[in-house]
Amino acid sequence: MNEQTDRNTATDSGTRDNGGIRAVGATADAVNRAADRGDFDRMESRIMQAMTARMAAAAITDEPEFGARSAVGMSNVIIANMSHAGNDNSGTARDVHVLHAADPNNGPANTTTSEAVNAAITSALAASPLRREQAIAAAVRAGVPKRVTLWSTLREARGSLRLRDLFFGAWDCVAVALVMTVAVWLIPFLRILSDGVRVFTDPGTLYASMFLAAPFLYEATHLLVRWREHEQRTDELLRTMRWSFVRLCALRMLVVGAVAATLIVAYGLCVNEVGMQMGFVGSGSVTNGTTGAASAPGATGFVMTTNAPVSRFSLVTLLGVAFSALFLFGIAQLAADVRCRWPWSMIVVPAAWVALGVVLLTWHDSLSPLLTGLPPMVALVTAVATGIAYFAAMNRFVRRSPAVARFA
Amino acid sequence: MLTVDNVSKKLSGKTILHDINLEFDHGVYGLLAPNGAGKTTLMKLMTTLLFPDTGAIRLDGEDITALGERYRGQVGYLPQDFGYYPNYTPRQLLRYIAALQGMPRAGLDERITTLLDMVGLTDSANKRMRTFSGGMIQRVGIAQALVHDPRILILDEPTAGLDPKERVRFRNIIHSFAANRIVILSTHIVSDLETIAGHIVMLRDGMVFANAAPADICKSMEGKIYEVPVDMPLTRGQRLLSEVQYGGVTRLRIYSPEPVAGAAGVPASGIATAGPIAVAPNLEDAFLVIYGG
Repeated sequence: MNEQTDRNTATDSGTRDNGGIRAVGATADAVNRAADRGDFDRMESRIMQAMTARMAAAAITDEPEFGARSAVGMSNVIIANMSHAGNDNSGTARDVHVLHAADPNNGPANTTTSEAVNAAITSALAASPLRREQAIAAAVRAGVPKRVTLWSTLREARGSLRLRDLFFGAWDCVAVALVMTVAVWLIPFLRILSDGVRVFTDPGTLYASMFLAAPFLYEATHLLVRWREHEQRTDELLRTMRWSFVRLCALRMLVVGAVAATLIVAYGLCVNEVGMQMGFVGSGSVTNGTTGAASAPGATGFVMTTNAPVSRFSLVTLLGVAFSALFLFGIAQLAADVRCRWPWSMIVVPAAWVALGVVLLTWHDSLSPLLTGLPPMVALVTAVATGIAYFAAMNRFVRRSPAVARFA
Repeated sequence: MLTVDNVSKKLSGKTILHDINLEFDHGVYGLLAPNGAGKTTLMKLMTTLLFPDTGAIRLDGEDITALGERYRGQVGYLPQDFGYYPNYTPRQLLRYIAALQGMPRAGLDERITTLLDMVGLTDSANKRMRTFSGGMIQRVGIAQALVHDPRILILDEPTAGLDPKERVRFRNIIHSFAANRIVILSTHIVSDLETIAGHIVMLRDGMVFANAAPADICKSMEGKIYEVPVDMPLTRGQRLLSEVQYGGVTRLRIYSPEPVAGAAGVPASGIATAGPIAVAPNLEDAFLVIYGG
């Protein structure tokens, strides 16, 4: 049998000059290049092309005993080609050669062409060190933990966690936080209703109020939910779950942040609407962010009147300031969660925010004109920049190993 | 295999565990030690709630900290102080835990029903947990630890608050569960460990004092445990372990490193009312001797 195989090999690789061999030869370089690059899919694809070409050529010659002989021959051709790629496969090639020759199932009498070709491919690839490297690479990929990112967290959460799971056992805390937020945000709004002229002509105070109040829902929910879990002693159990507590809290913050952002937009639109109703804000300011002028209620466009107070309110500035505050607070809270231990992680950022409020109140007279004159585009760019920084910080947060994080 | 390699841990400047080396293969492992000996700390280390100061804990050779969620997904944990949600039902809690463990929703309800039946809470499955007794809460805790069919089950004082009937039920659950998994449990009820644990790990002064089968630990005490009349004075080296009652007769169970003079084996007819007799040691005797009765 070995003699027969050797004769076939010699024929296939040396003396026969048909289309199949030419095809194999033509693709050999491509196979080698793919192997050098580690592009194993392309390498296999080229091998298959060569096989197909070889079979087609053999069919034209109408050779009756093509099946087994061609299979063995092809094994040698492939491996010989591979050896040119800088891999010492000569020994392996011989092994495959003998294996096929000795295997009675691959004998000429009972082996179909396709089976033989498949067997040849399998043997050649299994014997290839490149294939082994590919298998090792696949095993390493499977063994090494996937890199956790914010995006992967969101994608996984969509498949396994529902919204009700995020705040399980703490929905009452969310409701309380919402009520508290409405109460806090109502204070500047009531001031608008009572002293609209002053607020819209000098909106610096409104911006400062919004800067301080915007993160309230975010922080109140975070604080209350964490406090509840600590009090119920459920946080210890949650930290042993497959879904890490860090990622769970990150998802909660994102959801609350999204709700807070929506409410901020709604709040800003309400303020703008009130301004329009009072005649301090023109309809154009909603979209272009430019300062409007006093106009009669119901009037279209900007009708300048000499004695009317000039509104310097800008919805874009208001939203920019509010979103900047929300994102800045979020970044600070994430840093506190990582750096500080419970309960300091819960206290430090709100305390800093209150201190900031005191500063704004103390230097109100000098800071208010600065805020009033804040260009809408600057506020908008600041909001976008802080937003990007927030999501970057969140991405780092979810990647953080529990071993490093002092979180919870 | 879960291995604890040279693990030490300090908390608040005090060394709780020092150079702990343990191996856990299939079966039930009981952690036995007095309060404050480091059982809970060791369990928290094994659940990644704490991290070793030195050494490492490995599952099949991989550090459990590096494994992260791939490790936590294989661990079921019942904390000593199981926190629950009083306004939710056991079924809701188990669904929540299953979601956090990344279980698919398909077939989850059947799994939860089976578990609740296993822990004897079928009738209370849809009742709020605020109405539950301590024992019922503990059974919910056991069910939540099992919900994702973990490979490693870590139970801190699982039988606390369970009545004798429930303790027997718990033992049966653990016995069937531990066939091809690792179960590590700590309890103060020594008889529980004697019944179900294949290995006993005893900690003393933050180190592993003993790590052997219960029978082997008892064997080491053989010939050193006696029951003596209450009026018999104890000599140097002898220690009182407990008092035992036989009808109206009280006798002392003592540890004696040297053979007690005149002591006989337990007679076929029962406990002799007079004179010392050598008795078979049990795990409780070993516990009292090792930790000072």
